[in-house]
Amino acid sequence: MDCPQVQDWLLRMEAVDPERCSSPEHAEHLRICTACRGLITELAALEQNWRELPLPASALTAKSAFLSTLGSQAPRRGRAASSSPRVWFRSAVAASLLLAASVSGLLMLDKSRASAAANVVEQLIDWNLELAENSSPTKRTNIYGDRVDHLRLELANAKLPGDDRAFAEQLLTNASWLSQNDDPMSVADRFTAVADSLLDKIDAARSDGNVKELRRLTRLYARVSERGIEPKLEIVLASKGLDFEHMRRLEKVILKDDQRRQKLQALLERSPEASRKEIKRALGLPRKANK
Amino acid sequence: MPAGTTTGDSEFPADGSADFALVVEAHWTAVYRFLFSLSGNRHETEDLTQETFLRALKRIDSFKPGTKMRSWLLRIAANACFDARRKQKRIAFRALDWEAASPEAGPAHRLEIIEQSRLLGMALEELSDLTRMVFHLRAVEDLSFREIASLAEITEEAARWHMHHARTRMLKRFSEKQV
Repeated sequence: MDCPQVQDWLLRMEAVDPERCSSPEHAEHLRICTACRGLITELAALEQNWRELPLPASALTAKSAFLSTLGSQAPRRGRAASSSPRVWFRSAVAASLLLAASVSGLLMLDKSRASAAANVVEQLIDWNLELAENSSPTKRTNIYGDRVDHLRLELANAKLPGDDRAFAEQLLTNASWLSQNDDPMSVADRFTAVADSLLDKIDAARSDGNVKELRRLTRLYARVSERGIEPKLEIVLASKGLDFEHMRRLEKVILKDDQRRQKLQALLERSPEASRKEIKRALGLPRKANK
Repeated sequence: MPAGTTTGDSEFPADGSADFALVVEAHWTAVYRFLFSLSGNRHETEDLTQETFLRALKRIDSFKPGTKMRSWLLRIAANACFDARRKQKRIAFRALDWEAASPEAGPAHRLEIIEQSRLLGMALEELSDLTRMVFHLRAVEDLSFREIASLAEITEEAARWHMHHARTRMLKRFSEKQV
């Protein structure tokens, strides 16, 4: 057991506490190595310093101001009306999430296969989204550089079926592209392709009766839509003087999104009666009065 | 509020805005601190903290008694921050504009706090928003990686990776400053 191994383990620990060391090898190394014990002290000091930093005094005045207005803020029943002109984006996503949660009486899932795909693919999608959300080229380069080797290795070691592997490889390629590019239209295009792939997988999971996979995929789909596509389209729509090429691409993305929404609506309609009530609530439709 | 709702550790009868005031008293500082770690800017943090509690007030009926109010609020706060960023294209993280909260602190102590905050702020500025979030939730809120993964909608392994990354970067920054 050498220092780099132990230090890497320490940096990943939930609580940097040698007393909670479950590995005898790690414990023995920490007993004799002053450098690694020094790292523990440094990490503890780092986090303690962060905890102890005082907040700006304005934090408390802001609280007082908020509390003084609290009496006029009446808790509202039901769902607040959305002011977003693109409520149909979110409605379809919310509906798909509750649909996934409501499906019942289905087949057992392949745990090992789903687990392997889940971990790597989910990490790749989160990584893609993180890249897309950073406007700084330097930060994007750092985010990419810090994780690419680790994720390539994870992907190489994961036992994935052919189509999942192809999807994961595409996400890896996307990440490289996202680290160098931030044109919102092009980013939206990329994530539209990801959303299309996810929707195909959602449909397949529903057909297979794989509830857990269905839920996981709809969560990923929602993330991609809300963080990867919508914000980029907002930027494109807000920009003035779109040329013909951008208009054409914008229309294609919106059309594809509409097609996905219709597909989700169709999935929704196939849900059991008991789940439709919850789906209607998610869509913000009026509830019937309690009897 | 749903019956059995707790603010922190104590239970109280659920009725009206007076109860929500207790929620604000119990959790305002934690939410503020969390959002400050994400944005580094006082004014944005104040706006986002208010937005968080307003959203929480609207959705209080959806809070599940028996679960942690603090985690629920921090999730709302994270979403509020990311929503604002999407609308503004970005919330640029700036080095934290701390000021010594206690006017009684002597000049030397205030300088020490300012320097410490400057170093920490610079170190955090190098991190992505998600990494900063994970670091804060682990170091300050003492959430487990599982809880952090649930709140941030990432895998537990990803949360662990972000913490590793944050610790590595910050230690490197501090050791460079000491040379």
